[in-house]
Amino acid sequence: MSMRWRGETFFSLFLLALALLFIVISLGYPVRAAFGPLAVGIPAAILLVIQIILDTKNDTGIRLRSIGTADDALPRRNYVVTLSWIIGFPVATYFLGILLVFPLFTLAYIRANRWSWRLSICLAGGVFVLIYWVFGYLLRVSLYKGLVFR
Amino acid sequence: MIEAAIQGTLNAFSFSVLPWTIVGVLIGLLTGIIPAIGVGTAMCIVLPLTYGMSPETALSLLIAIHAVGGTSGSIPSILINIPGTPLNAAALLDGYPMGQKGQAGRAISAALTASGLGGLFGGLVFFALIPVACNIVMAFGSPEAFLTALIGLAFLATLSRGSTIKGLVSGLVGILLSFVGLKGMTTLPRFTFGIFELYDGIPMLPMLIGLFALPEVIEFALRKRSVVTIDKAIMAGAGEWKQVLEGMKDVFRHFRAFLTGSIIGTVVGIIPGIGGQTASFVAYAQAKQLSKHPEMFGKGSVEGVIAPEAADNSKEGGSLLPTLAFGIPGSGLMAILMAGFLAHGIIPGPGLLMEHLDLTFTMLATLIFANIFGAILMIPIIGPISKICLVPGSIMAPLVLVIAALGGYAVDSTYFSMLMTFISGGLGWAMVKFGYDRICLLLGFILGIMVEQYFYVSISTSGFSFLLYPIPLILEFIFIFVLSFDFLKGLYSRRVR
Repeated sequence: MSMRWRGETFFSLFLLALALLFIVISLGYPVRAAFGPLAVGIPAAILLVIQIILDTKNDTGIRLRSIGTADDALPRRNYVVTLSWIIGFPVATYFLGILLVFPLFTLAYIRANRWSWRLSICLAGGVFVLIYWVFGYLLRVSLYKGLVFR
Repeated sequence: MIEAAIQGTLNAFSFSVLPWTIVGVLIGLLTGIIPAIGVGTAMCIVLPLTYGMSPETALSLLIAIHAVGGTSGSIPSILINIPGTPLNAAALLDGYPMGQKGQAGRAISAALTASGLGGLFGGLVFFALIPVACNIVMAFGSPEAFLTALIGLAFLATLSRGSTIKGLVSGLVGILLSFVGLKGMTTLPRFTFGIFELYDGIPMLPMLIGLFALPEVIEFALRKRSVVTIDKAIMAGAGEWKQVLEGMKDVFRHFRAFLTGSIIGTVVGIIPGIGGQTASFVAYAQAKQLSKHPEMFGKGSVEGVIAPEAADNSKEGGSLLPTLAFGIPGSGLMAILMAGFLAHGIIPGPGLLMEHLDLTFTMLATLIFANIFGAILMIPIIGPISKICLVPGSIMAPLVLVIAALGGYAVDSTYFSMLMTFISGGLGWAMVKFGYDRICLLLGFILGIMVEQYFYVSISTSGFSFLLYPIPLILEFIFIFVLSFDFLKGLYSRRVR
């Protein structure tokens, strides 16, 4: 059982669960509100069941393209590291705010990829200027301060 | 109509719109050069920043990015054998061999000139077809709008670039997500799970950014793409003025290849769901058939660069027609553009040509200007700008992530919007990885609620009998044809075999 096969099936199961959730909730709505979600959710659920059966049978004749751009040959460590960066970013922002986390993230990521300190600091500085000057000053976006500095 | 045309064109060149069009051209050119960034990603990230702008300015900015993305995408095709955008894949067949022969400057210049003039061609055809489209949409009411939106949804199956089932599922999930919140003709907030922020529905722009920009970031980060190596001899030819002039002359020397590409691009653009890549490959094949030297194709024929590049840009004019007049996006990028319209309160479809005809002409003028200006701007700076395509992924990843997160946040300055960007990003990445189609999901998300709304308006005004009116009957026939197109195509090819 390859990793791609399992991942694909789990994702189809996730979508099926989502479609079923919409169907079940719709059943409690009046007819007018329920008609659309039911008319869409039921075919979606049926198609997903077919897809899951095809996945488990590994019917490559029908599945014309199931491989995305990500290369499955990449080591699992790459996935773990990348996901940690991506998930860590919004979590850190939630606590520490945009103005601090965004430039620090840029600095840390570029340094972690073994680029020079000079380049890392320049790009992090550029990000700070972009946030503070373009978004904060020119576009007048009120920047999220984070739970700690609120 | 003439008044609207004059007013629209004047708007396009006004002081409030033109500078932003130029900014759009620059963004489009830069994102086209860097492989894997994608014009769609750039449009998604820029979209939230346009909130404070007038619809004319915002849409001109987006159109300009969209128009020229394919123009500069030919540069990495020719220099490093990697297309800047999928639309430029055909250009590398002959562009890269030309580069290897030391004719990179000539190839890039021919590609840029063909792109600019191809865009002009597509724009002029669009202009000629506006009166026809106006006459058709004048007969449209809610029933016709409902069926037209339904036809748009039927294109889910053909727009899907892989498994038909997965394409349809993606679209249906998109429609389901469009029902979230207090929307449509119901007075009930649906599927909000008690989350106050979801009462307005899933915010479209954070979802758009997440779906299209974050998967690219994850890809960059996963692969840690190293610096692309480039042949110094190829690079040396890129900036030679003599070659640049030669390339410009080539387009007129091989005018038949240019015209073939432009006509094919425009026609393919008008037909929704076929896709820009098809246009450039069909144009390439046709140019080869019509060429006096077909044996040179694949070995560095300039005609093999001119035809697909002309097709790439001319198809933009063609694909604007179904998007603006009927609300059926002709391609994935048009679906993103359509999201831009909706973000500014403008619903593409029959109403647009009737109520905002001047805006339609503004966009047309912007499209033509961006194509020509983009090509003119690029030609003198081919040499230095070519180096941008060497920016490595490990630098791009944090920058695109930060800009995408800021774009998602800037929609309404709430942490919730930024979080939605990341959740959609995860969904988008999983969809790409497991072969589901993000464009179909977006199309479903945009059209789903429209279909429901028009459906209830239609049955409340004329009951179910609206399905038997003459125009709806024709549209129903088209709907069934589009739905069964894949099946009919399979049947036909089996019979031919």
